[in-house]
Amino acid sequence: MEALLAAGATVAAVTEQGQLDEQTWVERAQRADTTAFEALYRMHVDKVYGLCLRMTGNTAEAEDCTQEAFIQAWSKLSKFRGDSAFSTWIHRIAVNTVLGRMRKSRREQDRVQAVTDISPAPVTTGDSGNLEDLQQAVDGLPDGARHVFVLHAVYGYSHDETGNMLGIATGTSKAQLHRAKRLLAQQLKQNGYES
Amino acid sequence: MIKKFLTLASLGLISTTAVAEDVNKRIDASANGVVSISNVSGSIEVSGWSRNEVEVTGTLGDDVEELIFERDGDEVEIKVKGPKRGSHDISSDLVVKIPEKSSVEIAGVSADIDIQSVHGSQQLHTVSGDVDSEVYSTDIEITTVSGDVELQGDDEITRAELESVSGDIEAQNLAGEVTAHSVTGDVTVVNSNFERVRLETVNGDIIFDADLANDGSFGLETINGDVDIDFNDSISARFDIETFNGDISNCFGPEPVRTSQYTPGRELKFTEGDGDGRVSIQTLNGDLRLCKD
Amino acid sequence: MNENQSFDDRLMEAAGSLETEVTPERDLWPEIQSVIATPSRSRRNTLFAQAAAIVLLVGASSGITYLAMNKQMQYVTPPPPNGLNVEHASFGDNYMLGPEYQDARNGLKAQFDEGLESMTPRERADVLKNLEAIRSVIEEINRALANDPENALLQELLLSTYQEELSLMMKIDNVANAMNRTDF
Repeated sequence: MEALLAAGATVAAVTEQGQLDEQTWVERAQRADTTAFEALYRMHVDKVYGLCLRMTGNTAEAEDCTQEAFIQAWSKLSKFRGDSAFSTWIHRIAVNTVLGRMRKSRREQDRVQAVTDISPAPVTTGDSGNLEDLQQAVDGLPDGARHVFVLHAVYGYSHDETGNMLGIATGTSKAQLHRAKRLLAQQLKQNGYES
Repeated sequence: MIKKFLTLASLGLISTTAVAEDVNKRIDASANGVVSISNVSGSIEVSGWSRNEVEVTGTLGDDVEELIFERDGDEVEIKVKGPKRGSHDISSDLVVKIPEKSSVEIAGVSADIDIQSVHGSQQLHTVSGDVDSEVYSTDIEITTVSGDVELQGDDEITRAELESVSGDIEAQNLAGEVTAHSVTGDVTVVNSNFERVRLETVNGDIIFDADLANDGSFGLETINGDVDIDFNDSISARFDIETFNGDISNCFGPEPVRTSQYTPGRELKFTEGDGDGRVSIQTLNGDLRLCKD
Repeated sequence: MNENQSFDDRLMEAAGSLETEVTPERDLWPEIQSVIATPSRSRRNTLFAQAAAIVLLVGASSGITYLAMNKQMQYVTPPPPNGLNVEHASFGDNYMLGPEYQDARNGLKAQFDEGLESMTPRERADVLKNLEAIRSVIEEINRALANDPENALLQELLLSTYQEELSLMMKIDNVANAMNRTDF
């Protein structure tokens, strides 16, 4: 919030009212007001970054993905009609961004510095102890399984919604979740967790 | 084509040194996994069935080295493998049956693609092959360079992305979202009901005769194509239409106005109904005819 | 946790309690701002133009294209120094596509040519015909813009048409990639 206060008078409109003011910011941002967009950014960046981080398992990737998602959101703002929550909308964009970057990195592994599959920097998410073990195990899942696990088990999207966001069938989402759970169980048992 | 080969082969009229080979194989597969098929030329026909098996039948070209047909977990791969393109005959006709909830990913170059009764998502890519498919409630992405695209929907919500360079694109009975883009091919979308539409061509004409949901969004851009739009009678949207040199003929709502005294350019901005949706149209030289039922 | 819960249930419960909000280690906003902010006067127009170019980027299959255009977002005003050969130059006098755009296009060209090589003569001719159609539209719009540089519609359509060109080149790139991968 400090950064917002520094940004100027328009920021004074941000109150505890949350939802209502978000709509104001969205409308202003849609009219190309970058300060308003910054307000939206501050409101949603933690969740978007969290999503990118869990889906990519890699800090540098997650930072790039977050920036790209907001940039994309800016360019698509006119298409946001407010029928879903802004956070859901931008999550979708974040998921598409992750998937798009993965497709690109598969094709361009040697060339591009920004998009690589190098061994990830250790991820700090603020989870403690056992949860950190779980986080690391999730990071180690194969892509498809990890994406579904993150969206469904961590973020609580239904299989329909998950399938929709990832461009896969609902059934495939269920299959991937099953696979994720099986692999996580194996990994965690190796770490000493009892079944 | 398959029959013809079989007949000739059985008459011994084909040289036995490089013979078109018949294929008939089947393996178990996941009910809703992914089937990926790659065939450079010839044809690929895919249909969904209720068995949890993938079956491939058909004929391989004379110079085909092998047909890869393997399963790895949820994925089944079918690939026609041959020596480098050139004067070799690797043209193969594949008839593939897959579990109907499977997703398909197909890559061909000049192979035509025909899909029926597949309920999983579809990604179909060719260069000059034509693509003919049905879509139900999953996503579909079709890309060709010079092939034509024909898509039949089932009036269920999907997301369809249809891309060509010079091929024509025709789609009907879709719902949900559609993006259709061709450079010089025509785009025709009819009998559908959308939340979101995006249609773009450079020179191709665009015909749209379908419904837009009350808070739907419709975006169209063409340089030289002529545009013919018929919305539903209950359309409710803000219209923002601009053309540089084209004519605008509007069946409902106001007449277009010149954007400036000194330069060409016409625009048409008005609200129909409650103005919940958005219709945005831009053309350079193309003429626009806008009507509703 | 309930001792009677299965491992599966405990796993899902743990998953549900993972932090969904994580604060990035550094402030990511400044870079975002530099991409979306614009110095120009006609804000809506250039914004759209920039936004459209960004959207193109994200669909790019060429890493070079992505990086190059990402840095490219500030329009160059005034026009670049002499000696810079910029084809299909302008959105009117005050806007120039920078040298990185040319680099990006050149970067695509090698694979584009390779893709063309792998096509039949007929397919190749078709692609080149379409490319020609796109380029002549670019010329036509540039001529119109010369008379009417602030025309927002022309700017938008010009940008779209540049995107069409890159998009076509990328599509052929993908064909080249696909051909290489299917190891014929």
